[in-house]
Amino acid sequence: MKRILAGLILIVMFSVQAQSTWPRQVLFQSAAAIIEARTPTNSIMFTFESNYPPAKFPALYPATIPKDGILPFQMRSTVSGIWNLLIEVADLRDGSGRLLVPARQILYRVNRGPWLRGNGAPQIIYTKNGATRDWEELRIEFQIELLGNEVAGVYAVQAYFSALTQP
Amino acid sequence: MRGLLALLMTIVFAVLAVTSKALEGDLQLQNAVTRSGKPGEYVTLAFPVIGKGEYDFKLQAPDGWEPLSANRTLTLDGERTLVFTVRVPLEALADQVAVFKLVAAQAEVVKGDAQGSIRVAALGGLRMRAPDEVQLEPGDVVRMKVFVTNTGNAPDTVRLSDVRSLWRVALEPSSFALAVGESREVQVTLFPNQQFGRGFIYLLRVRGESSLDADATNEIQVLFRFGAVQDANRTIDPQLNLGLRFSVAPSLTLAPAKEPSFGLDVDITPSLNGTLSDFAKGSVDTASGFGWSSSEGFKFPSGVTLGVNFDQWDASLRTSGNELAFSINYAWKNWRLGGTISFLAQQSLTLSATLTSLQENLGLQIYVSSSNGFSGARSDAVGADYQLPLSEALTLTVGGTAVGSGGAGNPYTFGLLASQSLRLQTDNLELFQSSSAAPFSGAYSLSAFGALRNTTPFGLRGSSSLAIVAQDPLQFTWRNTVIGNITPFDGLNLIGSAGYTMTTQPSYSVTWNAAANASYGFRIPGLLFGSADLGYSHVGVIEGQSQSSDAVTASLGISAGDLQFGIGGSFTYNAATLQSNALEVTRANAQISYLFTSATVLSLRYTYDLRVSSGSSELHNLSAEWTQVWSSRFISNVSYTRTLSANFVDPNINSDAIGVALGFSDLLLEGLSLNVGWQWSSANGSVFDPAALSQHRFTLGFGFNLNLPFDTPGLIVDAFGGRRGGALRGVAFMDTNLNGKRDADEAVIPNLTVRLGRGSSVTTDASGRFELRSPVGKYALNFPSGLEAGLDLLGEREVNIALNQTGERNLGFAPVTSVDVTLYDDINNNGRRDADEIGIPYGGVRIEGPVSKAVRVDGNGNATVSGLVSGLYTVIPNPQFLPEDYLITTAPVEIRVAVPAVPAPIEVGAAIPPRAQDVTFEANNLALFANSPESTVPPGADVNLEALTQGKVDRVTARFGGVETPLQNVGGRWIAVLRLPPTTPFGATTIEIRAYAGTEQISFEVPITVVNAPLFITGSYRADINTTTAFELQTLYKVAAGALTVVFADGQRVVLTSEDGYRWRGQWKAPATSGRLEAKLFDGERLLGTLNFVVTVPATLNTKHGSLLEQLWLAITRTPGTG
Repeated sequence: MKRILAGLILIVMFSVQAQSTWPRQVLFQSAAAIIEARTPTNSIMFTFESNYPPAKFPALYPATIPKDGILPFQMRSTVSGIWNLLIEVADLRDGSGRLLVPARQILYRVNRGPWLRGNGAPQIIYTKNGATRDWEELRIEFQIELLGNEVAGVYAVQAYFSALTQP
Repeated sequence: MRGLLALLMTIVFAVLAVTSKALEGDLQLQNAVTRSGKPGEYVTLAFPVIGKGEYDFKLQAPDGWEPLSANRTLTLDGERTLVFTVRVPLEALADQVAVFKLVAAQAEVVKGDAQGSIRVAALGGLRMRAPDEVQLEPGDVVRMKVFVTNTGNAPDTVRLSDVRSLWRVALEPSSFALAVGESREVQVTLFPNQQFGRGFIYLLRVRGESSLDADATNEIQVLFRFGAVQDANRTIDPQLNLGLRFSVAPSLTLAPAKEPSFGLDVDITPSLNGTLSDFAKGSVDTASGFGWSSSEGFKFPSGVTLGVNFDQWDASLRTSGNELAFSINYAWKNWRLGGTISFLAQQSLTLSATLTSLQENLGLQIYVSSSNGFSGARSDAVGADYQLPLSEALTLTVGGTAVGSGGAGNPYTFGLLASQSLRLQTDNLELFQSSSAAPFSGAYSLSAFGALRNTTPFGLRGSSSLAIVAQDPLQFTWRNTVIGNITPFDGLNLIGSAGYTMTTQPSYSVTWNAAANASYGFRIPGLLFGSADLGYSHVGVIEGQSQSSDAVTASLGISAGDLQFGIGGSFTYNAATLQSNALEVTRANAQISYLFTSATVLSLRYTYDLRVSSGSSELHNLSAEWTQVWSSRFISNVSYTRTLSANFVDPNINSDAIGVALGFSDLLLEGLSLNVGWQWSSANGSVFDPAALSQHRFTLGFGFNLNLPFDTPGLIVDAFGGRRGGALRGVAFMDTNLNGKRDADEAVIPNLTVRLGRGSSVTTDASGRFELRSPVGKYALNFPSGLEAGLDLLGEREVNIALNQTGERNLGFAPVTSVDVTLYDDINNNGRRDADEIGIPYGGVRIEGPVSKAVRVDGNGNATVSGLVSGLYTVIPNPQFLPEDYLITTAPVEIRVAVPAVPAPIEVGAAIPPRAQDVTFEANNLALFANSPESTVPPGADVNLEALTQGKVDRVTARFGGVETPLQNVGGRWIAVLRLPPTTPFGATTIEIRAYAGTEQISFEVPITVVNAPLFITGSYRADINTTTAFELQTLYKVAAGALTVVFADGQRVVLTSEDGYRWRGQWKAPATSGRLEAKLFDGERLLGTLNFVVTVPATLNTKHGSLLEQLWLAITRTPGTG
């Protein structure tokens, strides 16, 4: 009962978007199977302006886009064996190539799992055996770690998703 | 005999002594071995010398080269090596040879000389500039420019590519040659492949590679933001766009011995999409168009899709062939519901739904589906997956599905499927185990997987899975796989895999497999990029009737500026089995294309295919193509293709074709395209062979894309939720004293039209007041009528209309003018713009005076700063938006603006500073090193400096902003605290440290970055109601005792105390009500910024979590954002 009422309180704080018009992308395709995904966006934005600087460094700021820092990630697979979902979080640079925030300061977690650091290369974030029933949804949360040498502003970073199958 | 031996020994030693020590005044000086080095590197020249006595040596260097120490005074007594270290100048060009002369003198009389040379090695460097952000509207052409400069010291070939873009990207050109210092403009066009609306953002990464140096790779990132701010040329009402794509294509075919054949194809493809209201978007798309063709008759769309999208739900209706499907998705608070009804004509009706929990603590997805066939057969399923975190790293997922099927004469039967998985995830590891069971059908599976989460530079994945069907005989498949990859060094990737499989499908067999692949990306400096790939795989049979096979693949690709070349080949061998013959397949291909100019491309392609089994077949295909872009509206293509087949006995021309195609766009009318084509082809011989019965086909194609945007009818707007908005009100007035506020003596402006973008507008009344309503969003204010010439708005033009709120904004006007500003690359650092000094693309300029503005310049370095009132201004480059390593080279430019006169254009410069030698020691051993712990500071902050010296240093100073500050010697360390002037511009800069020793002096530059940040570090302050709590903050500069005061909105003042002037403490008495409070921090009369305090209700719970009622009460009384 406690959990249900606590959940009702949380309901007021969350609002989510519909998804049938989210852009789709094919992560893996062979003659026999496909893994595809749909998300509202692949661009993750962080805003630290009026709430910056923090009381102390290092400080963690959740992403401002997508909403509440949570990317609803839906995937559908017809693969019969074991497969992996991978994410690649790139370094954050400006229009001159200047490194603003390295990928290792971008943290993410899947379905309330442990917080993991990006490294600019593909990393396995989820594993599944077999096909999904329908669109299966993951919650991927993003936050940025500020060490004190960043300039206040709005930053965007791209998250690239791909898939691997075990032959 | 012994005496003779002693004599010989004496003679030998005497000769050796004379040889090695040399005679007094006799000097042998030898040339140094030629060395090489890249700009910035230190290179040592070693001169062998033999002599006796004291000599002065001096190394004479060519212009621009400075040895760290050029003089030596040595007393020689035999062999010695004289060593001189020289730093290669940063501006030295590749392959330049610097010749140094070493002169030896005794009492100022030259006794000998020698030479040494240093060859400058090639160093790659690439600078790329693009706008940080591009603002567009949905439907705009997504395009921008990147400027690429060769900052290396040798001519280079540059390759550009997009990095994993989801949209197609055209880079024109993508590969080109650059001379030293040369810049080139690259046009970047993106082709969106998805529907999106205002507020959508897309991030593009572009990588530039130098063929000289892998380390010179540069990567930029550009943010495309759609619909960020409404400007004066945009509409804001809900709009729909009717798209009509017309095409008319007549054709004529002339075949031998046949009547001429005419054909006609007419097609109209409609689409409709846009905003239905402020709450909804809609679209109608057809899979193909309506039309008529001479071969097929009337045509109708093969499918239609209707979609409507709200913030919280969307729906679509799709028809395709004999299928009609309706989907709806609805997100309500913490749940997301998706449902689909699919009707397949004469076959079945299927309903399915998914319910997903979005709650933080409930990982649940529920699935339901039912399919009813019109023959009476049906199948149903209901299932759920539940995810339970056992710890932060370990997650258990359990799922179950109940299925049922029957009908059409068959009894209805039930089945169950249960599944379970465990996943352990850490920073480095991913471990996964799963099992499933379908007891009614006897199917069971078990699997395990382990991997390193990171895939570079080393990755490893392994799995084992077993699937069993419990029937007689037992059916099973057991598969085991290990895959590893490694990147031992940049460019080389190695992948290896091995597997072992035991299966009963289709018959019992045990096989093993192994595969290896190596790919290598390489570059030949200054010339080309290349990639090579080699792979081998083998399947071996241990037991059973499976087929063994071997396959080898290889490919090579070369990209040398305008030349692209590639070859590839593969060989596959499948061994014979009882069911099939052995098969050998050999394939090869080669292609080459050359970009003669950016408008002329010539390409050749050849492919070869050989299959050897019970018989043999051989196929050759050769094609050549010339594409010419004559203008942006006219393109031509000429192609030739020939296919040859052979069975070793009877070679034969399979097909032959010559084609010419001309394409015109925007012909006579924007959007109208015309394609003209001629093809001469033969299906069984050369087109030049009369016996081959070749034919000619002429085609003509007219295409027209019509886009008709129109306001969404009010009826539809209302039906889909109408408009949502807020209001803006204020007074328009003449801001005579330019203080940004309306003072009593300042006149109002009546009859002024105030408009938001191109949307809502209103006219001010007699007292200058206005109030208008508008949909929410950010808008640019504009004033289409009622404003005297020469007047303009002071302050920001952008306003934000918030939902259900009325914003206040008084509009102050004053006579204004504008000035043109150019930011140029002051390459020679002389503070003047020379003829060859071009603009700095996408840099920034600040103009400060009665009004201050910061603008970004365009790709040519130009900007117009408008809205300037009369007064004295200072124009400087904005360091925050200068390219990396650039410093300002021109003094601030002062201009006096006297409205309405337009001031003369202003030029300000910045450049990479001249690369002075970083001499850290001299001949007399004077050395200096300095640093600061504060690398990133706001203007006005204190910077601690510390310098270490070597030699007899008298004094050390720090110079910044024209002010010199002495450093104090404390136990051998020189220290000082330097306060940055409050007017210090943002960006990278340096503090010059200089050490003096008599007449000698050396300098060192300490880099710092000046950022826009408060001058204090604040904390997160919380207290329960009616309690007194201590709080603390830290200033970034030393404040006089008792000067810091915190002032709360209710008038409460807290004077802070400090022992060191940096760390400050105070006591705060929280009020009797909870909430979030803001307080101002003052240094004397100067406002430093805002502090946030949170007042909470005390938790009076007896247990760890408290009662449910208390939890609820706490949650209700907490203000938003307090956690």
